[in-house]
Amino acid sequence: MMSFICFFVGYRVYEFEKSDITALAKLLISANFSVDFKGEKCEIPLYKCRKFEKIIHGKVNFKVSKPKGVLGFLFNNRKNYAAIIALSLVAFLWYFSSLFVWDIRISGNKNTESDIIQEELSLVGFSVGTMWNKTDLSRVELSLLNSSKNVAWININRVGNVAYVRVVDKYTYDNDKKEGYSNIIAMQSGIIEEISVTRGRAVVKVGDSVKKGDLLISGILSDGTFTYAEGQVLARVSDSISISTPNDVLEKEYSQEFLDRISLKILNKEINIFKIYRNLQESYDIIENENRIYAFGKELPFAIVNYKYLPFEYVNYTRSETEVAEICKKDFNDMLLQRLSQGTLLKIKTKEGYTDKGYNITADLLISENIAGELPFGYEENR
Amino acid sequence: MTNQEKEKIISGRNTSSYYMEVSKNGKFSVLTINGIRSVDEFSDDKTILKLSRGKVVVSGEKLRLSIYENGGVGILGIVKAVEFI
Repeated sequence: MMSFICFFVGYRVYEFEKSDITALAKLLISANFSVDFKGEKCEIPLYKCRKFEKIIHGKVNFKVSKPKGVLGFLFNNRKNYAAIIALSLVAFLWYFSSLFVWDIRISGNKNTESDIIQEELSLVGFSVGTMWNKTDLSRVELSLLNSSKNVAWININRVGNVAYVRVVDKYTYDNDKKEGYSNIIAMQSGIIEEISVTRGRAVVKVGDSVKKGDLLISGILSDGTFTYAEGQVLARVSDSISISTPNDVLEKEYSQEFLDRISLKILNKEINIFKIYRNLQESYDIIENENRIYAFGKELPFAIVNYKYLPFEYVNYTRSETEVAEICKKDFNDMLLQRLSQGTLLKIKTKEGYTDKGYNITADLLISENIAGELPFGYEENR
Repeated sequence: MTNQEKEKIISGRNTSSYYMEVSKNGKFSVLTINGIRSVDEFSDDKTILKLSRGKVVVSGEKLRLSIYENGGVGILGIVKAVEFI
């Protein structure tokens, strides 16, 4: 394998007759010259070539290649100005692109969205496109900790041009006093199963039947003072969900796609490099195809973006019975999961079947969930 | 004995002694011998190295030759036998 130094400083490949290897070895041993043979060939760095040729000149026959490697390439193309300029430009762009933050990847956040943390980071001067050499990561971390309401700990690591951000969310204690006064009322009708009062005075008990809007935990304490009532009230709630999927739907019928334009995307800015002007139909989808550019396994901040137009017309489509039932069941499952996101399903009774227009599913549910809802209030003191 | 003195002996440049070291990586070996005067024969399966007194015959497969600046010679490849004659 070619050595790393040889590749960068350039080298020549010397080829000998097999019968000359022994004579050559003797010469090199006596001259204290280091060579690594690969069969009948050896690679000599450019800066050692003169000495090597001086040792072997006139004593063994050899063939020598043109200079190879990076310096060899430059030497061979020393009069090819376009190649030199292109190479210099690539080197410059490579260096230039390595100056900027390409991406910020956030992990460890459980309660706060990554977008919010990115926004907070940008407020303290660290975002995609920020220059690395003008960024003091410790200062960014400290500034964010001082300014953020969501982050308790942060660590930013640079890997290549990507910033890996690890955070720990701030924990909000339930007993943090909120400002103002509030009652807790029932958001749904149901039978109460469990009450836990953090602050305030419970006015209902387990087993009570409550209607939507009933007062559950009062913000007015028994001594006549006010507070911000807080707590959880679990109740058995009856609910029903229904979904119907029609047989006939409008579907898009696509015709031939065509290229609209090609752009060069540098960081987040686009430059149009090619565009075709033509009359467009009223309805069309745009397909954006972004091809990232890589060099030596490293992603460059450039991309070639193709925009293609895909014209379509709406046509009536009648689904088969199996198809409509499958779609309806899938939608029903999604709806049920969404409904149960805050509660526990105790009982379900479903009714489904085909109708003239499509497929219907109706379900009666019995759910155990928190029905407590805050209802803030104010008061004015008359003097 | 200082390192310089050791090197003087093991290099074999000024004395008749020689120094040999073998490191193995899978089935490939690197055989380093100092104190070599010349390479008498070299092929893919056999190499004869001349010492100040006697010869070393290295036989094997896919043998490669490296010459080092201190007068040492490295034999890389699947070394099957080393014989002193």
